[in-house]
Amino acid sequence: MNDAIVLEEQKGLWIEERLLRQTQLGQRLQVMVEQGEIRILPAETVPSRLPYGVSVDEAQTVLREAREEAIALYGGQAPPADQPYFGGVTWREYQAFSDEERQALWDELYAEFDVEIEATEEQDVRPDALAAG
Amino acid sequence: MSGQMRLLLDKHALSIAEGNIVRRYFEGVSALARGLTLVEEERRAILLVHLARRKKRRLFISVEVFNLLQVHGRQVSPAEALMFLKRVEVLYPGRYFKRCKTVAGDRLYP
Repeated sequence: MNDAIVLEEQKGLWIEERLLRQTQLGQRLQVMVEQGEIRILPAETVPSRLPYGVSVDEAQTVLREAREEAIALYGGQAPPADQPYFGGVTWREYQAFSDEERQALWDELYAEFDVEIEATEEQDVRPDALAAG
Repeated sequence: MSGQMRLLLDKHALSIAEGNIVRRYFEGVSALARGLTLVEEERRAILLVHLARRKKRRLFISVEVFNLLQVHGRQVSPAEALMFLKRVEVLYPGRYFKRCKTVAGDRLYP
């Protein structure tokens, strides 16, 4: 299908049902409004939005640099899978965990360090300290 | 610096949608180092952290998260922990903070 249809915006745009069917986009659609364009895509394949609105190219560059940084810190090769990785488990064991099990491990370890606000003491800070609250 | 947006990556407030940024970052860097494909949440977490300064954001973590990474991450997964910790600042809890004297000896608050 290569029909070129020019729509004129009045109080909105109306796209005929037959045209939507011809595109075979499926039952669930997502409309993405971008600068200079409006895209209608199948809900299942809507591209993710990257943080800060960076381009895919910039994202790939950042990820490549991150990989190089990690590899360099490990001296050229990541640690073996059977060595301790995090929270007392190896990388291999961690990889076998479900997402819920991983979160439970992090929650359990976090609880070891949880500080009750009532337990904190008054303390001096630098003159340029910022309050978060 | 004061005009920069400050983001707290706390245990529960650190989610991009459903994910945990600290955990996803940690897992993502591990995957990168091993040549594995990142899942979406890992990719977003790494981009959020690594691009923060360039995008004029200051990222903070709670002292609890800092201690967690120091004890359970840094010894066994130093790349993941170090790469993260060097890009964030630690936020310390307190009920009351008394400001120190300035160099000139004047108190900011009497």
